[in-house]
Amino acid sequence: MNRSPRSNRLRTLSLSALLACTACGSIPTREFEFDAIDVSENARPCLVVLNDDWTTAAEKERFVNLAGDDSLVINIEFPKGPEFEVTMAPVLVVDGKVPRVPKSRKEARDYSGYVEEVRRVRLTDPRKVLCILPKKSGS
Amino acid sequence: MAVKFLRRLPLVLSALFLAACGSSGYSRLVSVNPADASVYINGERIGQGSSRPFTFDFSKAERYYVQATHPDYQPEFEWFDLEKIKNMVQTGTDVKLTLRSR
Repeated sequence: MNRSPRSNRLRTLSLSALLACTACGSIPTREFEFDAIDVSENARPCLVVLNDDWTTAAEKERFVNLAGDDSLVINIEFPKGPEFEVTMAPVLVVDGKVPRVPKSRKEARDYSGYVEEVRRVRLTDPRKVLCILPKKSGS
Repeated sequence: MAVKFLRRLPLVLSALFLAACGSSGYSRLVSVNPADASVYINGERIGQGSSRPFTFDFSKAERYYVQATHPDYQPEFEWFDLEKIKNMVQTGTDVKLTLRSR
């Protein structure tokens, strides 16, 4: 197949434009590992809430430390900017299950007796996000 | 001349290697009060079993999240970015976290 130099140039230009569009259009994504402990460094069961979206967190069962000491890895998209907000919401576990999934920071505090942590995480931050949750005063 | 240089090459390479392995300019002393509190930097437990205070190299990431915890105290944390660390290096300031009792 013989192509003219002009045709070749156009083909190269089109491919370059396509690549540039793909690069510009892609949403930055990064994997983060979430974990939570209490002040005595014991694993603390939590619901991991991203950007205050409590419904999605509950639907996707973004729990950590439900069945012992583990962590939760989430691939996070950054469509609006280089930061997201994570709320590490403590939950009460009965027989390996969460009887009342909190829908707000206040509910998380009231149901569990621990205080949640809210943190702003950047795209370039280290992979591991560890929260240390103290007990609610009076608990 | 070249022979002389070649003879000294192992010495030069050793010196370069040692310099590369040494601490960077962003190393700071990390201390915590009370001294038996646990310290986590970017989610990893640091300095377990080592003497306190300890030196930590802050040159390998853009931001550092330093946390300290103790069963009898409120946990404490502080963010350190490269600019803050640079200022601390210039002023000779170290990283100190003081926990408040519960």
